[in-house]
Amino acid sequence: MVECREVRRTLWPADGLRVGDAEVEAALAHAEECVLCSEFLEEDRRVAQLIRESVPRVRAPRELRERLYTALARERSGSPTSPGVRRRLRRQWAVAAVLVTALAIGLAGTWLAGSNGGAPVASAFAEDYLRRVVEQDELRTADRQEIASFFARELGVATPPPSVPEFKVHRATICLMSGRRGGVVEYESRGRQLSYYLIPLEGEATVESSGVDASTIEQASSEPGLSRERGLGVATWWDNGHQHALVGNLPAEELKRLAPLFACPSSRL
Amino acid sequence: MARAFEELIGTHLDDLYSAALCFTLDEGRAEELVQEASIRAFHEYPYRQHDADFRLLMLGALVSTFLQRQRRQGRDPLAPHGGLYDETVRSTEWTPIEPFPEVGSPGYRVLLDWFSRVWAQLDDGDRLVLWLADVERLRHRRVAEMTGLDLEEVRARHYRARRSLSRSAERELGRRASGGAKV
Ligand SMILES: [Zn+2]
Repeated sequence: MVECREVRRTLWPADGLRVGDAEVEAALAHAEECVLCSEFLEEDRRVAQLIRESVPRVRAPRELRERLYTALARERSGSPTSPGVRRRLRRQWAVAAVLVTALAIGLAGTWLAGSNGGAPVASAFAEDYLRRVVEQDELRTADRQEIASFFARELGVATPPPSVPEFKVHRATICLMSGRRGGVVEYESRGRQLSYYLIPLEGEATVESSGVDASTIEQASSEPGLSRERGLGVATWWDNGHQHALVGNLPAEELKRLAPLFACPSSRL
Repeated sequence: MARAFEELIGTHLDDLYSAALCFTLDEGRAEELVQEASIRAFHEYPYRQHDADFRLLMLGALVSTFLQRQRRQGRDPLAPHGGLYDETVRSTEWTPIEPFPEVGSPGYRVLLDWFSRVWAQLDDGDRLVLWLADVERLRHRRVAEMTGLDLEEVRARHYRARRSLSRSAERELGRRASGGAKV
């Protein structure tokens, strides 16, 4: 029973992200065999789902909205709350501001000029793919809906990754590509690795959009552009405010063949 | 182009108000909290950020403003309470909900209704952590940063909150099954 307690400690919360180390692997192996642990984790997942569904979601009152916008307009016009309050707030947030500035400068420094409004180029995807071995936060699952919820909360994109014939989904992670947060879904099939990248490019006027229906990747502007970076097949394309990439140790022709499975996320919902 | 603060806050306002209502359990105080936190964030965060980061910033402002307001009144929702994760697990019995109702079934709707009613009975600090970890789905590490709690205490509070909701739901289902009320 001591072992069960350790296993639950390692795997709780059942729907959380965890470092995929040897301890987690051993705990997952135990939970697959142990009825009590698997029931415990299954119920934990269901309870978490119930909690999310049961929370009171309330519309903000119209009066709050109006008061808030009036207050913001007053702040913008420079007749804010009392100077004492402002000074106090400044001090409290100064550290956060320094950190944010440092981050912004760091990101600007690593920005790669791409072919589409500064979006990541193929080499950036290959780079990220190669350093993924040190990734810490991840969701190890073959459940595509679970990945969809993970991306919904991390990226604001509810995207169940498509099933790929012969390949199995085995984990999802968050990547940082040229300062943009994106999602990565990893597939594998008998020694063949395939990673699918989805980078939302929201608010970028310079990114070409090729429409919202599933046929968009047939059009010239979203035809997967294929390249080979450091011996990896990389296919990238844009549609509907997202950049997509397929990276893997597969022939480029095969990536090109697979790309249509990963068409605009909104068409897959 | 950077989206204006006003536009971003507009898209998150319902969720922020829902969070504030969950923290304070009072409509008037929830409104004040959202307004104060928004003004703070407006002044101290003039940088263009990804939407997901904006939401994190606003949640952080909401949590720190809430904690400050409570502490100013001598009520600290995060004052030491219970033990760390291992002690909490040892002292919290796990009684499975059996059978767990299928999603969409009448039993499941009973649970949903029950959960929404007993939220308010959780310890204030546990409820705050539960919201951040389960509704906002923030990692424990991030909840710890946001609240100033130790990582193990975040785990303990999160565990305790989930368990006490499921235990109370299990009791309620049992009560109904034994004829205490109609499902
Ligand atoms: Zn076990």
